[in-house]
Amino acid sequence: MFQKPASEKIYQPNQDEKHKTSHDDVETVVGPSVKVEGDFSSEGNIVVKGVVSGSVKTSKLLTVEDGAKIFANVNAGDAVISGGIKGNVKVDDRLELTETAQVQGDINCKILNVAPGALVHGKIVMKGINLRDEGADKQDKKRISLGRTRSKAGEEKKAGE
Amino acid sequence: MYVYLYDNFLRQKKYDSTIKAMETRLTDFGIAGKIIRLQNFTDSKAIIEDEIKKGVSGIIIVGNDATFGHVLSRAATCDVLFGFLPVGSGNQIAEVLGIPVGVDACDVLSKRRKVKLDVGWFNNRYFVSKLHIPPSKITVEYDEKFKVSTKDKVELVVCNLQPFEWKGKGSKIHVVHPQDGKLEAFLRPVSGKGIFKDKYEDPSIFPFQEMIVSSRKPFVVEADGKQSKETKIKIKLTRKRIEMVVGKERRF
Repeated sequence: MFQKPASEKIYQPNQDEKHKTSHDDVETVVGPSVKVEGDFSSEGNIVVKGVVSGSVKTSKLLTVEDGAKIFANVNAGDAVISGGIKGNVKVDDRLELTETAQVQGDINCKILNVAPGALVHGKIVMKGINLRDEGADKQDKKRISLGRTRSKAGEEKKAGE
Repeated sequence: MYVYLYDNFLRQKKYDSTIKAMETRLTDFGIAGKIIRLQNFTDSKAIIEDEIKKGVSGIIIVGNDATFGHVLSRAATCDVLFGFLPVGSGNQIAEVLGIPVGVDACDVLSKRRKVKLDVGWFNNRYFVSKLHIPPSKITVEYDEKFKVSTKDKVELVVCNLQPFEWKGKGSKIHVVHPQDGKLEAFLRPVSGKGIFKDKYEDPSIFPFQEMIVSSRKPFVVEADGKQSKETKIKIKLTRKRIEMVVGKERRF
């Protein structure tokens, strides 16, 4: 009579559910009030929230959060910049500059995404440019062919004489 | 033959039924063996070395995270197979190793799935679970490449087997399970003082293989429950040092 009905169960999160909140993909995180000096390199993703001076290198994703500052040359696989960088940025694949991003230095990347409000002061070089002026190419070919015909005609004249 | 090292707290009456059930299960599997009860001042290394000389095939630690750290921080140099039977509360390491708490741990032990584990090393001592430096003014140098410093005091936790937990924004609990060929260092700068305890910022995380922690003033270092005061420590990872029986559902 005083027993709980069998169907009523008290909810208790099991071990698996508990670990759903966890994130094991955490690699390297530089916290907001942390200052890093030296050659900072990692094999995994890097998240910068503080200050880094020296150089930054990763083959994976680099995330520079709003308020973070990097006084160094940056080398990354992909990058999402919301903070400030003073130095050259070299990204193998995709570089994303958000509204709050500030970059003072040259940018070298494959794909560039710049949000309105982002500030860049430097040269931008992107890989994969394949621009040929077809009109100029045709004119070049014509010149070459004309030159050949003229020389042939000259040779024939000489032979006739 | 296995030798079972029982922690002192297992003498409590509430653990009697679990221990009896475990011993019955181990006898059923034919892996029951000699039982040694650890006291507060027992040197586990001496006991294990003595048992190795007698030809023991495995050392099984029975207890919780504290027992595990206490035994292995001393006995990591011993060349023998280790096992773990977690009992009672405070068993986070068992979860990482894929060993269920209580009687079911005997099933994992009987299956003898062996894995070599990485162990942390600092100032001529091993640590298995984690190393903790309470908030102090320290400077950290990683792999002789870069230096990390903060304005205020900072708490440092180096995790090996014991997972590190912290509450993020919206009291979300983050858990990180290491044991991936690198040690993980968690730096949490103190951002202010609360009513009951200090407030911390979100931690900085650095995976590393070698790290030097130094300070002008001596700072407290707590490794596997043992405290000492140091001015400079070198933390390293010793790869595949301990051979251990683990479960199928381990987290590495």
